[in-house]
Amino acid sequence: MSLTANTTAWMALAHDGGSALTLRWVSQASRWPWLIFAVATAAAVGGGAGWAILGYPAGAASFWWRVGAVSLTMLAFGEYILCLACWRFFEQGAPLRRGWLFLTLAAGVRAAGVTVAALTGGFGIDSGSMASGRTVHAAATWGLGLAIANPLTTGLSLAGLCYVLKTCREGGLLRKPSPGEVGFLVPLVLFLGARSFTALRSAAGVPGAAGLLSGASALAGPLLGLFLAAAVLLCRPVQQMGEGLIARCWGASIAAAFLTVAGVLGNWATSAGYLPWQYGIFNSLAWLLAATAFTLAPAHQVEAVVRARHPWLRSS
Amino acid sequence: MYIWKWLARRVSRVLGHPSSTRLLDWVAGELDGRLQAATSGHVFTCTKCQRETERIRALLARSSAALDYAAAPPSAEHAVERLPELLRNQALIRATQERYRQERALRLAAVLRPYLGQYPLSLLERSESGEYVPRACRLAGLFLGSQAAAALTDVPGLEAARPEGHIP
Repeated sequence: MSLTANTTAWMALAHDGGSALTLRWVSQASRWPWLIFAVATAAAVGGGAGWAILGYPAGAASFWWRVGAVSLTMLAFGEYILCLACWRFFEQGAPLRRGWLFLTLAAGVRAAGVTVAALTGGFGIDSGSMASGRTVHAAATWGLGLAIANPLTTGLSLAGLCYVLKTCREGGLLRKPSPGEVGFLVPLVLFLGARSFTALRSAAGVPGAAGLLSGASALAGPLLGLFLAAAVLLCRPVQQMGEGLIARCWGASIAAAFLTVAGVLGNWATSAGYLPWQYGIFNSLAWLLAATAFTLAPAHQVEAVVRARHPWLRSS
Repeated sequence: MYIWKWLARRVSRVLGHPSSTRLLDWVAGELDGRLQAATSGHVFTCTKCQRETERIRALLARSSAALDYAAAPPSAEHAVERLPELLRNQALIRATQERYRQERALRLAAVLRPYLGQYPLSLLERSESGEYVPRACRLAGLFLGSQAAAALTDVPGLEAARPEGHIP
C-alpha cells in the first residue's frame, strides 16, 4: 500500500504540484491501457501468423499465454495505481471516495490474483506442457477468469458501483428506471435471489470450511449478476452525460462488467464442453478487453481531475 | 489701506494662485480677515482664478439643489411623472442581470462539457434562473472532487453550493 501511495504522491496525482512532464503524461493516462492492448493484440496476431506459417500450435499458444500474462499483469497494476489516485482525489465523506476505495480494493485483489495466475498459468505453460492440450488450457483459462472475476473482486466492484449510483442520484442523473430496464432487472434480481438462497442453503447444509467455500463460490454467479444489474442502471446516467470524460470513465466500467460476464460465460462453456478447448484462446481476448476496460475507467477519471486542476493542460 | 492692497498684490505675485480649497473657503466667506482680503485682491486681478471661482460657485449651486431635493421629498405629481422612468431603469437592470446570469451559466456549461458532457447544458434548460450555477458546481464537485471543481468553475459561491458533509 505504501509503495503505491508513494507512487501516486510522486506522480503528484493527489497534490497540486508535480512536474509539467509528469502531469502531461498523467493527463493522457487513457492512452496507455490502449497501447498495452494494441501491443498484446499485435503480438497475438503475430503468434497466429506464426501458427499459420510454421504449423506449430503449441509454440504459438504458449507465446499467446505469455503475452497475455504480461499484458494482464501490467493492466491490473496500472488499474490499481490509478484507482488509488482516484480515491485520493476525493475528500472525506464524498460518496465517490468510498466508491473508489472499493474499486481500489477490487483492483488490488485483481492485481494479486492476476499475478498468481500469470505465474502459475501464463508462464507455467510451455511447448512441452501444451502437449496435454485441453487440461492445461482449461486450468489456465479457469485460473485467469477466477483472478479477474472472483466473488471478492466482483463484490467489491459491486459495492463501488453502488456508490457511483448513489453519486448519480445525488447529482440528479439517476431517476426512475425505464420500462425496458425494469423488464431486464426484475427477472434478473428474482433469479439471482433464488440462486443466492439455494447457494446459502447448500453452504449451510455442508459442515466445515469446504461448505462455506462452496457457498462462497456459488455466490459468484449472483454477485456477477448484481454487478451486471448495477452496470445496466449506470447506463442511463452515462448516456445523459454523453461524450464527457466522466461518461467515458463509467462507460468503461459498464463495458468491463459486460466483458467480464462474457469471459465467465466463455469459461463456463469451455469447461462444460459446450465449446472446444481452443475457444479458451479466443476467450482470453475477452479477458484482455475486460482488463483494459477496468483500467480505462480510473484512467479517464484521473485525466478529468488532472486536466480540471491544471488549466494549461485543458487544451492538450 | 493702500499698503494692504499693495502687500496683497505682492503676496499673490510671490505665492502664485491660491489653491482650490482656499478659493472654496473664500467663496464661502470662511477665511480670516487678512487672508480673505489678500485672496480677494488676487481674484479681482486674476482671470484664471475668476474662472475657477465661477466653477466653484456653479458646483456649490448644483450640490445645494441636489441637497434640497433630497431633504424635501418630491411631490406626488413629480413622483408619478418619474415613475415610468424608474420602472424602465429597473427593468433594464433586471434584464442586464439576467443576461449576465445566462452568459455565466452558458460559460460554466461550456467549461464543464469536456468532463460532464451534455448534461450541464440539459441541466441549464431544466433549471430555474439563478439555481443553475450552484447545481452545476455541486455536480462538478460530486464527480471531480471539490478541488478540481473549484479550479474549473472558479465561482466564489462554490462553498455554499456544495452538499453538506462532503467537504471536511
